[in-house]
Amino acid sequence: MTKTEFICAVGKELNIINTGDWKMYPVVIDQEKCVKCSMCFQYCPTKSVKYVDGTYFINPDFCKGCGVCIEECRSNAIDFVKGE
Amino acid sequence: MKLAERMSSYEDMVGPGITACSGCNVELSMRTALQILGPNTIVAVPPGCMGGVQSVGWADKTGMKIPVFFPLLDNTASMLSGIKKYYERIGRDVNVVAFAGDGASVDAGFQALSGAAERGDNIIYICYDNEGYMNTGFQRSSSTSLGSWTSTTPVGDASHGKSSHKKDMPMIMAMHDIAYMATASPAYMPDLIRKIEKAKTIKDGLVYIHIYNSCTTGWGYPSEKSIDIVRKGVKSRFMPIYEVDHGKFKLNVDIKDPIPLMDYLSSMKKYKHLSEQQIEELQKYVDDKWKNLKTLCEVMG
Repeated sequence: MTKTEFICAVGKELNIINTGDWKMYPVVIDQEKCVKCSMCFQYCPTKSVKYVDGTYFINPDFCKGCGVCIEECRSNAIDFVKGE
Repeated sequence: MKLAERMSSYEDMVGPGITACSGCNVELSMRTALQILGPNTIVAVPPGCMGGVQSVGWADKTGMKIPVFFPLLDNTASMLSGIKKYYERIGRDVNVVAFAGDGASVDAGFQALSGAAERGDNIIYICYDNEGYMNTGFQRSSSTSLGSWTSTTPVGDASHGKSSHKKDMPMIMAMHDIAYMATASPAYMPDLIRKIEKAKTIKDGLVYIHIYNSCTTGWGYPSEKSIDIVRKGVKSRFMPIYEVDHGKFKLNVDIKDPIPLMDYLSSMKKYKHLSEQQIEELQKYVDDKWKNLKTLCEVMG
């Protein structure tokens, strides 16, 4: 490793693990049932729940499928998509 | 502004994919804390769960978008004091933050942390307390609560889990007369966010934030119950949420009508062997601590 001029090392690139592969089933929000309480947004450990223009949706790229959002949802609008 | 709008406006400082267990609420705490602290931050993550999940990276790659350190288990606070002093000397205002586990704060790193608190170094020290050395397979730490099963305090004929109570670390740090001390829980997210925002504004001493977390694999509960467990912990008065701002005590989440402690204890595997006597001892510990805290809040509020 070469000596850097900085007091703290900044990585040359991000070390990213594909955690999206971990989940058994994809998770989706039923927009009709959603009451916009923001519980899923607050509690998602991987910050996979995004808030854009007043709507919450789940970005599946790095979602580990832990089910915290399903458990915490106040209107039971979130669930695994099983089948096929 | 709504919480969701405010949080969406901050960038996530941690890389998108880190190998924390599915449903880990320590990952949630770390992401939220660093999101608020922002890009003008240097973070140190000592060995522990969050060091082990590749947030500190591998070779020339790091798991964060900000400078991140991997100090030793026992020198985190002193190392950060040095970094802060350097930046004070060159006249640059940087948030110098530690995100350490309970092993690195309550056990091994305590001496360095106590020293930094006594010197009044302006660092933000966040301790995520999941009650044990989870990264290496749940060995007992001094933050493990009474009766808890761990791999070094097994359950059998001769041993019935840990035989001593948990070290009351938040109160120990409060008694160092530091600038700001707070406890938080990921189940009370607006409260946690407010405390990190407050920590960012304090420039006259050490800030210590103690986050009561849990561990799905070590404690033994399904991953989706991750938030529910810590909420039960707070509601049963086991994890009191309060803050000490320059010597002023304030109870942030006043539990007037606590749920039975058994609701919390029975929801995970690590307490499933508890005897009547151990439950009584735990209940007495919780009641005494709550009474002390209430008195302090009244007298020093």
